Formats: sequence, structure tokens, C-alpha cells
Amino acid sequence: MKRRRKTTPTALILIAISLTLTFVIACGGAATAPESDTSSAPASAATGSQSAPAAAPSGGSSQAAQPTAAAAPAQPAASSGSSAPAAAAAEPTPTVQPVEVQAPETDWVTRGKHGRTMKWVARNNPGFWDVHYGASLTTTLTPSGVRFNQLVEYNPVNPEEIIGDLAESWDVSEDGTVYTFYLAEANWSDGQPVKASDIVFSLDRITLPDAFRGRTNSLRNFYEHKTAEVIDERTVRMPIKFPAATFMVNLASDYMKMYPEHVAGPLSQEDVNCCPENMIGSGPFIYKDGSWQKQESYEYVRNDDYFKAPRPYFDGFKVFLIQDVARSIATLKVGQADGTYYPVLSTYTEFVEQLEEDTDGRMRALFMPNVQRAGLNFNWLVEPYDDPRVRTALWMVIDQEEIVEKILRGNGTVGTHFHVGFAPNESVEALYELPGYRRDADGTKAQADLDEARRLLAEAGYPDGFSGTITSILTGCTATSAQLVSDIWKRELGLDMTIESSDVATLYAKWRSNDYGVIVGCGSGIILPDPSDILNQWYGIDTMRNSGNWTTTEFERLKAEQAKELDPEKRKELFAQMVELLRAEVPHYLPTGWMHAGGTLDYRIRNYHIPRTIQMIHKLDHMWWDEDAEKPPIGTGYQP
Amino acid sequence: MTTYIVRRLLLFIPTILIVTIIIFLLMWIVPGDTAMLILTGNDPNEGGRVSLEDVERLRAKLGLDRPVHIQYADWLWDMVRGDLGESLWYQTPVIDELGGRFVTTVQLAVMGMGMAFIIAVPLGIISAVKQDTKLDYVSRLIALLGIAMPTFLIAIVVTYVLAYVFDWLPPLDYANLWEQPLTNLQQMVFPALAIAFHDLAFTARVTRSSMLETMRDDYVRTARAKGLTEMGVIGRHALKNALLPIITVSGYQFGRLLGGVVIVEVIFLVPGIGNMLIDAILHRDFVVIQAVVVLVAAVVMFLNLVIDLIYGILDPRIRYQ
Repeated sequence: MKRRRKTTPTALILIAISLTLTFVIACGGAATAPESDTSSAPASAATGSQSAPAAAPSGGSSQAAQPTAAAAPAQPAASSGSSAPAAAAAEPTPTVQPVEVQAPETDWVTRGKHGRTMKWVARNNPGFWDVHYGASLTTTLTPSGVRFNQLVEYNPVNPEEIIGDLAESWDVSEDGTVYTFYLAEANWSDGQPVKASDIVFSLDRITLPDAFRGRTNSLRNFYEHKTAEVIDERTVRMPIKFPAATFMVNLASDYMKMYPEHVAGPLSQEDVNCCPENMIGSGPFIYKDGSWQKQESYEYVRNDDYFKAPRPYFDGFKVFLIQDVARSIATLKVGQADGTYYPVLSTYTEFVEQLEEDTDGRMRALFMPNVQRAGLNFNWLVEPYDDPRVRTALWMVIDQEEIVEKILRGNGTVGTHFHVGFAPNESVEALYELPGYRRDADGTKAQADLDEARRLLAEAGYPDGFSGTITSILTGCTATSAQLVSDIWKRELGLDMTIESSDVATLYAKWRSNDYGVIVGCGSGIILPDPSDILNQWYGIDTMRNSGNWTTTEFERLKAEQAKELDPEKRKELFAQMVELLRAEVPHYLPTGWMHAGGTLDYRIRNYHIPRTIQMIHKLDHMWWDEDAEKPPIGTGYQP
Repeated sequence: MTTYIVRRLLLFIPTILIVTIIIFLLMWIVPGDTAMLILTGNDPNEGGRVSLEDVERLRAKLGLDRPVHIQYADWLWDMVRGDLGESLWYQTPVIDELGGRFVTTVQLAVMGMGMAFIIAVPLGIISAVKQDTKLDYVSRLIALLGIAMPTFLIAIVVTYVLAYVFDWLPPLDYANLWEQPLTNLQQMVFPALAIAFHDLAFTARVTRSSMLETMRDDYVRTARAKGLTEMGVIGRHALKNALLPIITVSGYQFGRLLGGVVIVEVIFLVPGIGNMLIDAILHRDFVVIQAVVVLVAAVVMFLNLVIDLIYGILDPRIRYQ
């Protein structure tokens, strides 16, 4: 019997959000597009204690990703393997481990069920189909990524681990600077075999000098263009510039796709970007020609010749592009779609629990904990934000718990520069001892911090506050954060801030040209499960998020040193030093919390394990539909 | 008459030219450009590692680094030759999409206007004939609600009612009217209703006031004196003459609808030019924006001309020279 739920709260939320969004659209505002990232998200919390390492299809001739060894990829000692622990927030560097052969766990592979063309809802229209080029999860990777494979990948059922993808196994030289990859037997979707020359071509295409590489440019840090070699048809030798802690972490990124030379070689950058029909891959799904209707949908069909047979399990899938969040939620509510695509998208965080109730548990809430950052971006080149005392004062009065409670609706936590709890001096307990985080006995923000902020502001020459502008995107938690921050500054410091709402294009133009005072950010995410990603994104020179090029000599030294430090503990210590330096120097970006990402899946979709960043594990070749799956009790979220 | 039509058609040229200049200047004044958005994926949470060098290189490639008047002149020259250009964002020809989308939007506008007309005219007549009665009050209340409620709010309420009360929504895959007419109607009737509700209010009010005015004219009194039935008086005499301002308003409404369906198309997933325009604005894709605006401007001017001509046919007193 269909249950009629009380609809008032849903109605209010839907209407309020829709009103906001449509108003934004009407005003030329930007659709917030979720995207996020990495972090130390306690991945196991979401994934459970999945142990199944790489899955090798039993009996298949192409034994992809044979999980036979857990070896440190970047290691002074020679090693080899086909799986490696992902260097991540909790364990940033692969440690020296003897090669340990494990029995492949193929249980889930054989349990998978074939069938069903899935239907997903997504917000962003695809923009650029070249994964090497595109700089966005939602406009590039999610539309295009399922067609391709990487050399190595994060294990879809155990995202802590890096396993082979097109590479069946690999060796590392004694000095850690030469990798040799042995390829699995695989074909491109036109039937041509995947050859070592394709891999070399792809590596060189990614690192092509002067070519824009939005999400793959990090490979240039490790690999020198045109230095990889074909050893034989299925063996590639790849030298790297130095023994690097995070080389494999980067290589396993979903953006590091391998392209067929015979197809991609003759194509221009524009040809690959514009038209999905122009490219093919070796991945689990094949783009259905002509299916992309802008602002409507696109479709993939199963690759029956996928080298990881019996995967993939879905017959295919169709993604419906729905900008309006209320309409998306309504679509999921009435059962016209099976989930959000990619499954965890921050846009839906506040709605998914309600949706689970509204659908009697059919749609399950998914949360990826603490994977996005909220913070204050100061233009430290202009007055009064050029004074570290002003920046400190403005940050110190912010009550992060208030932001988590009022803006993130509980979907987040207090946090600081790197992933929550990563550096030894950044544990949550340690934070509450620090200025800016302390609480009084009654649980409110410490009066001492408020007083200190006022003192600093007065000392900087602004005893009565000042007037300024907060630039903010019109939508989502960014808009509400800006309002809350403005209110707090008014209340505690007497600042008179004007909120300048803009769409994405306007914001970026102002940001990149340093034409702003403060930008309030909410939902900015990281790409890789390693804190070096934060360094790349927020502290890189000549980059968007560090448009004023904030840095210090010591900070640069530490950045360089951590990249080469292979001992995880020593590397953590370097990050701890960076934390101390950032606290002392008060950089351009000051964090105000970490937030969760959220999405929803039908409970009959099985074997989805929440990865450690939203940018990981996008091939969907490990999930299946089980019509007979048991529906878990309402309120328990998605269960893999 | 011919001279008049030719003169009006010739006036289209400077009008469109002025419209394109205004739009071009607006796009130039508004901060942000396509190059930056392309490199950042147009996502507020992206854009970490975009260097100024990357931006400048892409701007040069897209021709956005040229002086604005050169960009405009190039675009205009292409347009005059029938080439609407390639989308800066998608790098595909604009013309490929514009035609089909325009037809979809016109269908929506026609359905919306038709529904509005069918409901509004009787509503206005009843309101006028039963002036200051309960029927009149109800009719005026409906009209007032329609005028007060913005179209997007009506669209959201309709979506909500369908999803949460009836547990149903129109099919997601857009169906062509000629290939799957029933599915198409399922998809189009609700957005049409949303825009109709707003427009019927205005049309109903015009109908009411026009009818009230006409009903007081001498010839209506004469018709009644001749012993005609009330229906005959209203239908054959009053309404016929009251239609002139209604038609004028409807023509204006239709032009307005073409531009006004934007939000409704987004909410109801109708792949028309409104959806295309929103996308282009967010991407600062001036090539697409210009193409859509020129098309809409041309259609609105053409409609105005047609309405003027019809007006002349309906009212013999009007002669165009």
C-alpha cells in the first residue's frame, strides 16, 4: 500500500530551494555544481571493512588487476606488484613492504548480476569530453570517464588500495625512479588491442607541453614528456623524475585515462573535446552515438568485450541532466531515476535523508564524510586584509560549530588546513585547545577568542571595524555562509560588509584578477586522497585559489620536501610543520570547517562503496542491480 | 498596404542591429568570459589550478582577446552570410540546434497561449456580464492570483503536486510532437498550464474591461431592444467588437511568452530555446546568446506586424499607408 507521507517539510524545502535556484537562474546565476574531493575521510566508515582487493574475473583470459601483491610503488628498494595501499590522508606514503602474495578475492565478481539500464539524474551538462583536458568532475569526468581505463586505479570495493587497471602488474626499480608496467590483454571498443604504444602515447598526451591539462597536470610533476618507452607490445617502461611519495596516488586518479593512439592521435584537442562520438576507449561502457542531447540526457551501453569480464553488470545507463534540484528530487521521488550520478554529490546532502523517508526507503541516503572545505579567501594584497592581524581577527570570531549547525545542517565538522586529523597537531581534540576553536564552559565560543579578535583588529587600526565586500556565489551553502559570516563580523567586530552575489563567471573573473576583498567558500573539494592535493589546489603559485601567490620560502621548502619523503611518519611530520607555519603566517585561505557530500541510490543497486574522494572510482563496472535485494530499515542509509 | 509592409520589414534591420549591439555590449560589460569558465568547468567548487597563461592562451584561441568592435564586426559579417557561428562552449555549430529548439518553444508558447485564451476569454466575459456578482469576484480573484504569482512558482507548485500528491511526473525523455504525440502532450501540457495561468489572468482582465465597455455601447442596447437573446447580444455583437484589444494583447503576450518560457523550460525539462539561452548565459557564450536573441527579436517583430495587419482587417476603419 502506498503510504502518503506528511509533506509539509518537504514542500517547504523544495519550494524554498527551487525558488532560490530559479531566481538565481533568472538572474544569470550559476548552478552550483557539486564536486569535491578527497580527504582523510574515514573511508572505512562508509565502506565498511571491505577487504576484497582487486577482483580478477575467474577463468578469464585477461586477468585484470590481479591482486597478488601489496607493494610500495615508490620505494628505494625494488618492488613489484599489482596492488598497493593508496597513499592517503591516513597513510600518505606507501611504506616499504615485502611483496606479499594474497589470494584474489573474486567473491563479489561472481555474485554480480547482469541486466538493467540504469537511469541517473545529474545537474551539469557535459562540457568537455577529453578527460585529459577537462577541469571538472561534473562536466568532464562523470560524462566521459566510463569509456576509459587508467593504468592503475583505486580498488572500487576497497578504495584504500591501488590496484592494476590496464596494467596487470608493475615493477619499480631499486632507486624508485623507473616503473615498468605489464599490460593486461585488453581491446579498445573497435576491437583493436591495447598496446604499450597506446600507453606511451597517452602519457605523452597528458604531459604535452603548453597544452591545458585541468586535472591531469600533476603528472608533469613526476613524468618528463617523451621519456616513456615501449619495451614490447604489452610492457611499458616509465621513468619518473624522483622517487615520489605520491606518484601512484596521482597515476591512479580517474583522470589519468589511457587513449587509443590510432583514434586519438589524428584528432585535434577540439575534436576530442566537442564530440563524444569521436573517441573510443577500453572501458566498461561505450558511448551511444548521438545520445547526447544538450540539457537533456546522454547514454552509454555495455561494452561486451570489456577485458574485466564478467563486468560490467549494467546493460547500460542513461543520465538525465536536470538543473533544478527540486525537479531532480521529484524525479527520484516518483521512481523515474535510480540515483544521483555520480552517486555522491554535495548538492543533495540536505535532501537525501528526507528522500529516504519520502520513498519508504527505496532511495537510500549516502554520505561521504568531511570531503569538502569551507573557508575564507582573503585578498591579502589589499588593505585591510594585507595585515595578518586583520585576517586572524576575522577568522577567529567565526564559530565553526555554528557554521556546521546552521549552514551545513550538521553535515560537517570543525576542521583546519589539512584533512581532519591528518597531521598530528590537527586532531579534533587538539583543535579545541587552540585559539579560534576554544569553547567556554557553557559550550559557547570562548569569550577570550572574541576579545583577542577585537584586540587584534584594534591593534591593526580598526577598533570600530570597517566596511568591505564579501563576494559570494548566489547558491547553496556559499550564499548562506556569506550571510552568516557577515552577521558574525557585524555582531562581534562591528564590520559593515556588503555581500556581492555573483554567478560563477563573475566570481572567477574577480578572483583571478584579485578584484575582491573576501570570498566566502563552501564546498570546495579535493581530488586525491592525499594532503598534497590541498597544497596543489590552495597553495600553488599562479593558480585560481592562490591568485595573490601567497607563500613563504620555508613553506615552499616543506612543500618540496614532502613530495620526496617516502617515510609516512616523517612526511606527516612535515605536514605538521606546515600546519604550524600556516598558523603563524596566516595565509590567504583560512578554513572554517569541513563538510560532507551526499547523494542517493536505490537500495537495489549493489556493491557501491563510498570512495575517499568524490573524484575517485567512476567506472561503475563493479555495481549491479539486484531486484531481490532486501530493503534495509528506513534511516539506515545505503548499504553496499 | 504593400508599401507599409515593405517599410515595416525594412525597419526590422536597424532594430535587430540595435538589439545585437546592446546584447554584445552587455556581454562585454558583464565580468567573466568563456575561456575562464571552460578551464574551470563552470563549477564554483573547481578551478584550483588554472594559470593566467592558460586563460590568455585560450582567450586568444577563441578570439576573445580581440577588441570588442572587431569581435562584433566578425560576428555580424558571419551572420549576414547566414552563418550563426560555433558555440564557444560546445564548439559545435549553433544552427544545428536552434531550429529544433525553436519549434519546441513555439509549440509550448502556442499551447500556453491557447490554453490561456480558451480559459481567459470566457472568464472575462462572465466577469463582465455578471459584474459585481460572486462569479465576477471569483473570476477576478483567479485573474489576480495569476498576475501575482510568477510563472516559476506556478511551475514548482505544479511539479510538487504531481510528484507528491499523484506520485507521477511526465516522462523524462523528450518526445517529438509528430513522432509520439501523446507523450509529447503529457510533457508539454503542464509547462503550458504554468505559463497559461499567468497569461490568462492578463487576458481575462482585458476581456472583462473591453466587454464592459462594449456592453454599454449604443448598438448593444439596440440589439437588446430588437429582442435578441442575451447570448446573441454577447456573442454576435459585443464579443466581436471587444475582441480587438484582446487580439492586440494576445499578440504582445505571444512575443513575451517566447522569452518568458525560459524558467518553465528548465523546470519542466523542455528542450527549447529558453533552456539553451540559460545555458549560454551561464557559460558567457555570446555566440549562442546572440543567435537566440536575434531569432526571438525577429519573431516578435514579425508577430507585431501580423497583429497590426489583422487589426486592420478586423477594424475597417484602420487603413495602413
